[in-house]
Amino acid sequence: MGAEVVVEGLTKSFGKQAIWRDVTLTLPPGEVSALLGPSGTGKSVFLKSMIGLLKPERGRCMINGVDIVTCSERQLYETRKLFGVLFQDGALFGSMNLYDNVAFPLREHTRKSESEVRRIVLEKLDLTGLNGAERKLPGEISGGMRKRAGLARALVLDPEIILVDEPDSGLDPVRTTYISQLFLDVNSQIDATFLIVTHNINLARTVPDNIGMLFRKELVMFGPREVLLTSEEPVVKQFLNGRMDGPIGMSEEKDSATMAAEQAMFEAGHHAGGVEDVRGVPPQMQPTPGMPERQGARRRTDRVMSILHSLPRAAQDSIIESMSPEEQQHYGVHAGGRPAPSQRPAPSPRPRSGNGERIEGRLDDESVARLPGSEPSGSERGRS
Amino acid sequence: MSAPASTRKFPGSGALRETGQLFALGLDVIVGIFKRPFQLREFIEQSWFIASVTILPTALVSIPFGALVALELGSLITQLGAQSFIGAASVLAIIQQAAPIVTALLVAGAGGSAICADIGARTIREEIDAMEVLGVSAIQRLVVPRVLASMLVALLLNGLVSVIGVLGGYFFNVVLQGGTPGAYLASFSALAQLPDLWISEIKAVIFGFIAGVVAAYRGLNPKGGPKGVGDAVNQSVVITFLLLFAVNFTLTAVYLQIVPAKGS
Ligand SMILES: Nc1ncnc2c1ncn2[C@@H]1O[C@H](COP(=O)(O)OP(=O)(O)OP(=O)(O)O)[C@@H](O)[C@H]1O
Ligand SMILES: [Mg+2]
Repeated sequence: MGAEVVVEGLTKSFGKQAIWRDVTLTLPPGEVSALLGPSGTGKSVFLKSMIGLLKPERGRCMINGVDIVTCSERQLYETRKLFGVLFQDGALFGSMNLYDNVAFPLREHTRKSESEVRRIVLEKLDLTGLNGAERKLPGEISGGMRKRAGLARALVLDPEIILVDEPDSGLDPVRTTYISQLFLDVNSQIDATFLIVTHNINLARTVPDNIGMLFRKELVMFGPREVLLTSEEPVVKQFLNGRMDGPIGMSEEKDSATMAAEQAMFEAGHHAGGVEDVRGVPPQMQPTPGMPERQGARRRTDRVMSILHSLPRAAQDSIIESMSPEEQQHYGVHAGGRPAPSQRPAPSPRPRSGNGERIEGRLDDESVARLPGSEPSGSERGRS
Repeated sequence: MSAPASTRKFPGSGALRETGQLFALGLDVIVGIFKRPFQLREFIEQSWFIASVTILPTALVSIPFGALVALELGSLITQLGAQSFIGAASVLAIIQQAAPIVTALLVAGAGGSAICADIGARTIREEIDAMEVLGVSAIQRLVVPRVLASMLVALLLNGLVSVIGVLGGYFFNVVLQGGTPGAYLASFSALAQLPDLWISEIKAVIFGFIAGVVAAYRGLNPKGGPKGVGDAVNQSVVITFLLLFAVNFTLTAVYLQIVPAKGS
């Protein structure tokens, strides 16, 4: 089973610049979590703090009873062996070819024979679609390949905790989905705890069990995926839709004057960006058929059911809805049984398979409502 | 690796902190030298690399250096009427002072800058972070072999500079200034003594250590992107030079106190 990571009250600043304050979250063992947030909110800094590369001023980060923030050098090196980390740019060793890069952790930390090392390295390179490139130097391959090679190196020791910084940057959408599939397959095989930092909304909506978001120097929320995906929080909605209207600006956050000015602009018909109205909880990606069942997902269902009552109503509905009838029966809940929340119409219960249509339906509604207003793109679309 | 942000600011605190961190790295390196496993391959590769970038310039610099010493001393000593001491004086000057300094300047300028650029590039590409995260100490793995290599090369180069310098001095004195070969050679041992050779080599090793540690320190802490690496290389050479002159002065003063000059 993967290790649990408990972060409590972590605070980090560089000199006078505060990056984030009081971040508290628990990465449940064996589950896949994702961390979202606008550029520059310190997601990479957070990952680096979790592995002790940066020292936060306050707070704790407990892994197997060791506090990464305050432990001794020796403990730190020991604990780091539990980690597999994929850095934002792959961070391959430039002087070694891909094969030696991936073999590096094995040669450093295990007494495996060279033939065994070879078997494992080729297997991991194959897994990440890099066979044939093992003699190339990192300078001679594309950014996406570097990323995948970095992932192969992170996986080679079968780590208990895997931290991934933006797996999607530099990858095309198809490869991003393959990588997501790979994460879930690896997770089902070795039951490692994942934390994925990403800007990719598709990935964020379909891969993780839990989602958190950093904004305004704080962790806005962290919890089961349904909570963030059904959230009505303006920041979250704006981020998921990739639109300009909302609290997130080009430089971190907007003041109220800018926001009002922009609001007027959007009302006057300026396109706020974003293609479709992203809402609702799409079904989660599953491990490839033939892979073992994800233990983390099973534990997660138990965990989520035990905290169900504390979650927002919309999230509750969506969780219950996503369960099979047997599971619903097992936990003694049923989909239609809950009254709709009073403040706003909840997404009405619908069968899982009808998901694609649902989004289309929503999109149509929205476009009809918006078309007359949004001059530039609307008229263009009309003409073509 | 990062300084706590809560430290109070006072004038010069930045410089003090940098100095402290430099010393801390120096200590870490010394401790690392005795830790197993020793990175033999990296050490040999780096020694070879540093030697290859320094040998030729060193040889080229040390010939005129020996000549310069011989010429300057030659004309001065001839006026004093002590021609028979020319050999002695130039050997002393070259072995005790010139050789370690020339060596150090070259190890810092050619070897140190290469080390700094290499480690700096690895730092900004996050290779160092990646290595630390893989549970491998970058100091142990990268810095220690480089510092040892620069010490070894400094030691060897020092010998080379001494020999070439003395030969150069001999050539200029005997061939160009009409000195007598026998007198030049015979006076070698008049002023110079064996401890002079020792201190020369000890200095060279210490200078090699300083050059390596400063280069590694600046390389591990570049300020922001690739431009920072360029600045770091530049600074590492300047800092090393300054440190070397200070350390050389101290070592020479201490040496002259401990080992009395021959004949006095
Ligand atoms: N070593 C450092 N020294 C000083 N400031 C830093 C350092 N590293 C990061 N920062 C600052 O911390 C902030 C967060 O950086 P970080 O790289 O974590 O952003 P991010 O959320 O990962 O963004 P992105 O999504 O673009 O990767 C930035 O404002 C950056 O200027
Ligand atoms: Mg980042």
